[in-house]
Amino acid sequence: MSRGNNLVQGTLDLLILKTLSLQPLHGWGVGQRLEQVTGGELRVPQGSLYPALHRLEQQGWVAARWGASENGRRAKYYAVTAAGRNRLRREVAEWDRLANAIGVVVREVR
Amino acid sequence: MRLWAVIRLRARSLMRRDAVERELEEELAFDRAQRGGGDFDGVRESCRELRGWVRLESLVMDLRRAGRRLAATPGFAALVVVELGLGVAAATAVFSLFNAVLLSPMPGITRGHGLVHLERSEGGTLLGDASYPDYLELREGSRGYTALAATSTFRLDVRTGSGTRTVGAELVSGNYFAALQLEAEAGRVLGPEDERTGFNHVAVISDGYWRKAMGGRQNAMGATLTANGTPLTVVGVAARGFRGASQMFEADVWVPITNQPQLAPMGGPANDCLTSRFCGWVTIFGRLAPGVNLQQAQAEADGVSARFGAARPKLRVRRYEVVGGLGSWSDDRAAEGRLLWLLLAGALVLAAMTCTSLGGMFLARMGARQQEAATQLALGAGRWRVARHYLLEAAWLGTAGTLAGGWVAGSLGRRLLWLAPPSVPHNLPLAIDARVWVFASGLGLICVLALAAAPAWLTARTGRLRENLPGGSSTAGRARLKVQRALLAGQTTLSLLLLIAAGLAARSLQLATAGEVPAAAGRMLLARVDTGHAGAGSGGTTFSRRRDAAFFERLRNNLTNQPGVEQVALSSCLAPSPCNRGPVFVAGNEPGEAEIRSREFLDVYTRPDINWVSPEYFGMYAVPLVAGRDFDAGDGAGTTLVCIVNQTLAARLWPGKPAVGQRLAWPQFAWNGNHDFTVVGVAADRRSRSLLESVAPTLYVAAGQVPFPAMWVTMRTRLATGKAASLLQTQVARLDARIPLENVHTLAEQVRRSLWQPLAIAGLAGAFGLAAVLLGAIGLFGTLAQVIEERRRELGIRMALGATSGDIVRMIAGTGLGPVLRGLGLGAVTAGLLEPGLRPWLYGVGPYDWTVWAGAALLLGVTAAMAACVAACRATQVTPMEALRCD
Repeated sequence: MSRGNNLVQGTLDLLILKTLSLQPLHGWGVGQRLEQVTGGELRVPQGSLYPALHRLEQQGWVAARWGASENGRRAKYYAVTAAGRNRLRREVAEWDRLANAIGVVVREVR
Repeated sequence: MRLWAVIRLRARSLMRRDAVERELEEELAFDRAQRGGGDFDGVRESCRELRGWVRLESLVMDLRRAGRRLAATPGFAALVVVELGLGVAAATAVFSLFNAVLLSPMPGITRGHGLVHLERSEGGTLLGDASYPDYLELREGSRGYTALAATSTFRLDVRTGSGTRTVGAELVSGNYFAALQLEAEAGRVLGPEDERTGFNHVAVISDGYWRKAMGGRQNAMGATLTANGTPLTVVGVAARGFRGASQMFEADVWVPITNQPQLAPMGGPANDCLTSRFCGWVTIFGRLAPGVNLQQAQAEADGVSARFGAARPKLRVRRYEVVGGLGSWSDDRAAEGRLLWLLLAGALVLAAMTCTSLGGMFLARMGARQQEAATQLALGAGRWRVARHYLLEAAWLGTAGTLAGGWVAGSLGRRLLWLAPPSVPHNLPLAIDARVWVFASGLGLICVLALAAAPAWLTARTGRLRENLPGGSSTAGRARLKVQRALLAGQTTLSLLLLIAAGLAARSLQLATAGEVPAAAGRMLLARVDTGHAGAGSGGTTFSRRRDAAFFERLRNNLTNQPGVEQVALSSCLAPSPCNRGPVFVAGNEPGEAEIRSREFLDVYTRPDINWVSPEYFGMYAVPLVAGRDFDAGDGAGTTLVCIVNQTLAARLWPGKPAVGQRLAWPQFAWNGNHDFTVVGVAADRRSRSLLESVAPTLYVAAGQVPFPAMWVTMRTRLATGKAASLLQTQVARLDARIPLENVHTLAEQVRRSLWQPLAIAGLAGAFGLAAVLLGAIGLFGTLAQVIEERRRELGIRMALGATSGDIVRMIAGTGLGPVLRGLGLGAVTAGLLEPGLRPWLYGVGPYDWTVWAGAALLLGVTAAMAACVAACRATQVTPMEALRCD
């Protein structure tokens, strides 16, 4: 079983937006950065990553442009748009609310 | 911003599919290179689905397939497009007329919003025109308009190099062009300063007149136009296309209203209608100021009327109704509206009938496709996917049909005006504008949905494999037959409605003309000769009454002596058409002038048509005298005033008593002089005002005794119409070259003009009705042919078991004729319910004219039977062996 499945459902958009809000990245870079930051805890399979990126692009939260990568190859870079930043703020707030609520329940049980 | 980005992206993924696909490949290739391998097929699919291609692709694929399938049956496709095109064209053409008359501003007027009419009314009766002093008071007293203008139409005889040409003209107030918000095409338009007397010999001409008569030259500004004997300086050209503020009149010249005494003298002692309140001759219209509504304008008009009424207690109260719109009186517009609604209803019935007939054909097509549908379902296609094929086919055909129909409607709309009298100008913006296209495409869309609805619904409802398999006695098949029968019945019902309407209109025409029109109407040439303008202002040789009489008598004599001319008569009114009217009384009983004038239009007095006629009139128009004598040469100037009354007037004035020898007072003839006429004869009643109205009381006076400046010449000849017309022209010119000949046409044409509304209804309803019969027969034949195709095996077995050809014909024809009979019954009931709505247009037709109904039903029944028999005879050609083998 892949560790990517540990991804909490519905949080992929939030993670991608957050990652891209720090700096524009290509698709592979997004996956790498996520894995790096979480110490290998979160690995997003490309089967989820690319459709998610394209969906965010279609909804106007991120914008794509072609640029040169570190190794000189042409790569598609994604960056968060102004609307995407607003969206990210809302998603983060929503996540905090949810995480708190879950935390309360979990501590209660313990 | 975000929305724009989203739209751009979506559009790109639709339009530049290949580029988007390439980019995806490149992006994934980069990932693969970084990762050092991996399987990306699933990723690719997910990304594609995201872009919404899959659904769209399948739609495009189905659309292409529907197109291919239609191309495989070109006969069917062409038939549907033509039929649908005709239905859409008929309705759209009628709607374009409707749009031009009722919905659009008149030609040249770009801003129609806020234009209103002020109509004079008295005791609830619309009187229309106002006097100039009344208009000035309203103009002074009103604040609710950006401009309140006045106009009056008249005819100008413009002198040209070779003779005289009559053009339409308007006498207008100085703010006329400002109220219409019209600019000059060249030069300038008229302004308030032109309304001052003494500075007013100026004219604005229409763009068309400028181009045609003056060659569009810039130096036309400042040129002199000699019109009705008065020189006018051309100062400008009106906006392109503009032909005046009336729908029924096409003007080419506009002159300041203060020219009325010279250019359009109205006769009588008080020739100056600029100061008289008894002349009702100006039409008042205006443009409401921003923020003012009709109610506020009405309140203001009422206030003005009340103030001036209080200041002049002796004058009768004038009330003005503020009515939205411009171009015709509100009651005319209402009448036109009713007629156009009727025509539109007829056209929509035809369109509905077309859809019904096409729906039947589509269903038949569905039957032929059962096997294909079954295969598709068996292979796992969804019901709606299968049902969608019908919608897409219909969409192709509907688009083609609507475009064809809209295209045809453009010229058809103009042709519809042929049904109207040719002499009546039509100042109408007849164009296929956006509104008309919206109507046409809306209609087309409804037709498409109607076409495909039944097959699509049936497929979706009973879309199970087993039931669509051929040969099986299927519920789908039965449901389809039921709908097919209902459609056949429905189309018969609608056809019957159209046919009955056509029949009733034709019957009404027959009754309206019976006995009223002389047999020689086609050889009777009419022309109006008006001496009124000739000589006015040119050296003071204005025609006097005496000279009028002498002129017309010489013209009549000269014409009678020409070879080929049988008889010549003169009359001031042209029957059938409206006539001058005035109150008459039994001599000695007439009230004073002030009282008559204040109550003239209240319908308290007998106001007969008054017709000045020469002695030959009664003979030529086949109006027998039932008592007394005709006018004769002895009834000339200086002899006792004599008159002839028709039976209706005689009965009104002297009920139960012989009229001959009685004395009749006609005060308007000479208010303070001798206005008593001795009745010398009683003429038979004729529906002279209109062939569609009841008989009007009529007073005839002798033209030789009481001259009238504008007379209609009626000439019965053996010559061709064109020759007779030029003969008349020559003879008038020989007497006085300045007198123009107007409105030359035959009596038969006059009758057609007078009957144009019922003729238009009969013509259109007839065309619609025949189209419906034809389409119905095609639909029935197509449906039966399909039924035979489906039941081929059954027919083969029956014939193998010994059924005769007669049995087969009876069976097939029975299948088709049952619904037709039900449709006829339903149609008769519906027509019975709708018929009262038609009555206002039907002259003399009794309620429920059974001959028309029976005729229409018979015509439909016979054509249906013929179509059914032809189809059924094909069925007998099925040979048993072939039929059994064919699966």
